[in-house]
Amino acid sequence: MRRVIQLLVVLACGSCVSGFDPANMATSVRVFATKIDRPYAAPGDTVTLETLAFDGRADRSRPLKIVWFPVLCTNPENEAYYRCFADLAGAGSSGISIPKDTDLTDLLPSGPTYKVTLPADIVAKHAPPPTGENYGLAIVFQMACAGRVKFVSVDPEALSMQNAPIGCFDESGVRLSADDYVLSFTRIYAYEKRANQNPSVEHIVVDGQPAPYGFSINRCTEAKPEACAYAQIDTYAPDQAQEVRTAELDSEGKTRNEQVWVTYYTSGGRFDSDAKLLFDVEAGRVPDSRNKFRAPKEPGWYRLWAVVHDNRNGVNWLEVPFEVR
Amino acid sequence: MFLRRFRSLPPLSLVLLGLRAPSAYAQPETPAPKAPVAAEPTSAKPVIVAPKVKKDDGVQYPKEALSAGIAEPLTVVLVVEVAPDGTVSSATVDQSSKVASIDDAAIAAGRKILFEPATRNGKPIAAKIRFTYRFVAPKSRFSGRVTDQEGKPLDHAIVEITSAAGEKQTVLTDATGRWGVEDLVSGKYKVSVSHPDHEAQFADETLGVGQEASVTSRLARNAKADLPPKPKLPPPPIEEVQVRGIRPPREVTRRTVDDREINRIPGTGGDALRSIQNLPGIARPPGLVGLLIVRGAAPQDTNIFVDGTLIPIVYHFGGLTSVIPTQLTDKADLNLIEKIDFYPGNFSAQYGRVMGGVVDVGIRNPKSDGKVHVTGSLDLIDTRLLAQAPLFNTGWTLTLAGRRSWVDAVLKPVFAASGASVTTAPVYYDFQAIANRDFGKNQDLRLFFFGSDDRLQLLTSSLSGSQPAAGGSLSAHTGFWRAQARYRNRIGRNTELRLVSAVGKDVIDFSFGDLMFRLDSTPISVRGEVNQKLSSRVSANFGIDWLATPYTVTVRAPPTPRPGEPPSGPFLSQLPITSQESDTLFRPAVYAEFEVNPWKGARIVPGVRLDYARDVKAWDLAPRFNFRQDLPTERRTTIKGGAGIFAQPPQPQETSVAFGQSNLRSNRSIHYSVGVERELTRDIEVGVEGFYKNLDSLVTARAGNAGIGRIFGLEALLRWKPRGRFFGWLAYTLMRSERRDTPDSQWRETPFDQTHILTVLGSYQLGSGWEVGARFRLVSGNLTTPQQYGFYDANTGVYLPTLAVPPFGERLPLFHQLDVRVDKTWRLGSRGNIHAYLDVINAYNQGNVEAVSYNYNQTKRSYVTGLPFIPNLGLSWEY
Repeated sequence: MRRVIQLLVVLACGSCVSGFDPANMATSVRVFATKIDRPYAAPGDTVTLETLAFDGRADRSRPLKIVWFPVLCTNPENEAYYRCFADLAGAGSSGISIPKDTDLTDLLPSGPTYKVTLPADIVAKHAPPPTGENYGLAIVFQMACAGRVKFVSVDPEALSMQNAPIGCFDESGVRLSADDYVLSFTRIYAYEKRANQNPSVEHIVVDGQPAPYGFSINRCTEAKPEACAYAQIDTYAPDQAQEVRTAELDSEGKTRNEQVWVTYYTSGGRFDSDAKLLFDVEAGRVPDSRNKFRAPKEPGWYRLWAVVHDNRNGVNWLEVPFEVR
Repeated sequence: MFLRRFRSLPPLSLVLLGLRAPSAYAQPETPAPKAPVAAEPTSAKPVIVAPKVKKDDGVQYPKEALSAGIAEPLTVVLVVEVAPDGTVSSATVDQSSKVASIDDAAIAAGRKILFEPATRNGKPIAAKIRFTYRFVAPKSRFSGRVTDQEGKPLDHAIVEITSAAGEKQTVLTDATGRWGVEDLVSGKYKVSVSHPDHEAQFADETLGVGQEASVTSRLARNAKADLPPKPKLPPPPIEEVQVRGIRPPREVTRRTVDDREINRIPGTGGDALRSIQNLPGIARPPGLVGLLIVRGAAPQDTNIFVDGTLIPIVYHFGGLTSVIPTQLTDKADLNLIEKIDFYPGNFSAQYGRVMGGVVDVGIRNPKSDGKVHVTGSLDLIDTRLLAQAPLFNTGWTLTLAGRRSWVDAVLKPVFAASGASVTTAPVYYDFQAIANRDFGKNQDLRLFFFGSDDRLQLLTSSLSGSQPAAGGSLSAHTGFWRAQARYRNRIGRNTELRLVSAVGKDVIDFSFGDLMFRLDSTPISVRGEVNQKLSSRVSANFGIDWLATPYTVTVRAPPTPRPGEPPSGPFLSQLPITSQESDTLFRPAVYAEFEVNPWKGARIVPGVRLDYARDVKAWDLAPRFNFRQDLPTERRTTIKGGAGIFAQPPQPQETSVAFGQSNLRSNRSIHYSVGVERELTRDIEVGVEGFYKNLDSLVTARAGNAGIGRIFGLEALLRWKPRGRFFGWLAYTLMRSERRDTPDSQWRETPFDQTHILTVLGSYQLGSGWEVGARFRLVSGNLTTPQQYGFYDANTGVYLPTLAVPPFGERLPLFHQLDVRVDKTWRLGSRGNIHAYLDVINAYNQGNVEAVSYNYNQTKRSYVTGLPFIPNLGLSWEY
């Protein structure tokens, strides 16, 4: 008995959330994904990045703005994003020195999309991996900030490598909380030969019925969300969403398939699981990828996002409204 | 006038030759006179009565004479003048012994004699008499005590004392293990101590004149211990002592957990290896993981052997239960595991390639009583069977055992309910077969085949938001087997050969989504050791320890992170590296070790080991030195200590072309320890030991052998031995474990640091088959690295935390837990026994903190608690 329960606890604790609000409840400034039009680009390519963001704050008196940092960090040490901070602060290869507390909000490119051109030698300058095809890595930083974006100096002697030289502040200079900003980065991989497409995705499925334009659901009237009736939400992606990686052979010479999953977000209600697998590397399409969705208590119109990822930097999404009655 | 008159006495007429022997050291030479024999010339013919001795303390052989080597019987004749009041007014030597100290002793003694004075006509008068003292040197004697290695007295141990002239005396120990031989002359003796179930010991002792020499012998069990007890017989004349089995300990500290403790420690479910986690020096493993964290070392720094053969997997499913099972029976001799020896540090040169600790599981030989024995155990997890029988009349005895879990029956619906598609529910097997052949007095051969197999295969579609790549097809298969042969031969009285060789197969096959790891290896190991007694005080051990492992490893996984460095993304989502490597891990070693007993109670063990690791082309020379000194106290008191170098080659993944580094050398640790052991009573002993480990050349990912470390602490163990109704112990460890990964990084505590570790446990047999026990643990919380809101990884949709610096800077709350166990055995006579137990984990349902859980963006946190109150029921039958 003891060992049975031990095993159950071990397995169960993989999904313990200790009563926190689930990640799919968007009640603050959130970034759900950044899509690159060519997930695996070629050296010298100009690629377009598009960010899916949402302002879920109850008080939106300070507007949300998405800004991009026009410093392309390439091939950082250990491929770690925080190794780019010197470049981001202007102390790196750019040679630009930015004074502390400089308000960058109106100086930086803004909007949901941004274009960058990869260096032609990005692959050549990357240390070859021990096995497989060499590649190059570029990292782009952006911030979704409901306030003012400022440069802050970082003590070079600071112990943490993760201290970012950028912050989101209100008008009086007070640093805003995590509900008001998201500082994010996007990796762009460049290969000479290898390519990838963003996974194609067609529509949301609600209780077995396609719902490309939205759906309705009864509000929850129970005290505990777990007691509410639920809808089974699924995302339909055609078979070609899972690409066969012909250029990537495994150690036994076999081709490998992509892994494809969908992450759900909603402005109201909650999902039982953060994400669901759509295609498995070995088993292909997963027979049951439905996710239980429980409506909020308040009636009204809400939004639902299904962000589909593959494990080769590909991303795509669907956004549908739904009415809670 | 008085003198003149006195002198006028006829010299012999008043001589009284009388001495009383107040002790064995002084004896009367002649009886005292019965009647007066002298007269003074007088016309009235007076009646004269000679003085009589009222009080004489006698004499003892002077120490000065004994020290000078004088021991023969000697006589001194005194002339004693007795005053009318009976006191001695003068004592002079009339006939010398020729030894000044003897004469002086006689004079001194003579002056103290009190007499009934001589009388004349009833009136006291002075008198002068001759008085003789005879000095007899006291006899020497041997005494001693014989115990086993745990201090348990050995009844009917045979002690043979042989003088230089070849005269032998043989005695048996009593129930307390004590013995004595009286009336020995001084000189050199050979002392032989033997016991049917234990290895004999031999010692040369020099018995001084009049001295008592005390000899304490601690015998190690031998392979014969499995034989049924022999009837107690009077001491037979010993012509030869058969010596077999393990050598006496060469280490500073060897902690042994025996059968009863293994089976009865509350909270362990009777699991053998979990029982040693209660000993000092072993940290409480985090959560449910079956790790051995020995003296602050990383789990991979401790090796686990089965009778000298390294095994790759210790627990089914990483911690569920040991791969070598214990039967739930209370009949110890039907359990595969005879004992577990645990060396927390400063271990012998016979062990190498490891710098933490060593656990060696001792396997019991099949019973050789010619009968068939069967035992079966059953609980909600698995079923175990064991059968023993003689193999016809071949001289071989055989044990077959096996176990199969049935957690698959329970867990399959659980997984299905969670949305997983289960192909192979978790299932494990293990199997053991032992064949033993005793070739007589000096040789035996044992073949042991054992292994383990764990499998799980399922498809999970629900993913965690923090590791979305951790989903999909999960396939896990871990298994190994070993075919081990052990041969022991005592070649003559002074030489013993021990060979253990094994060949086997290891398979670790794990795939998870797009990632996979598959290891297929064939380890071949040979251990050989010759124990040669060079003299009565020196033995030498020469050995080889040879390991060759052809392997193929196929990996598709992210690169290895550097410890303490923040992740650059969700680990499982990082760009994987694919590689396949085949090679042969070749690591031969030779060692030499000497066991020196330079003086009484001392044991010094210098040794040296030379290892070669072909994968890193590195030679490691590891000198080691251990000592023990028994102090001359009534109860055994031993001071002990050691220092030595311990080298551990890099792990295979650290030298992998794809995942590791080149030009690595071995990790190194220098162990220092000093301590004291004291037997408080027959049943209770206490030990305290301090240790310090200096680590260097530690392999750090992408930084070579840049790491250094230090681990230090104190261990204390108060132990009540399991020889009566009760056993138990109090174990306490005070410890600190620190590491610096690179020269430019900070010192940090390792995740294996637990400042205070207190375990109190005990078990008591109530009678009528009932036994109750409890275990209480009070342990410092584990270390964790606090997280804060950080960056959003837009590629994977995961928030990456900002990690506090230095890592592992926050200690979780104190852990405390009480476990209770009740056992009951029903004896059914010829139908065998039935045994049941109830093991209650966390009896007062303490919510101990095992980890910290964060919400999706690390802005909220809460504690993750461990096991709640859990009753565990087991049942077994044995025949």
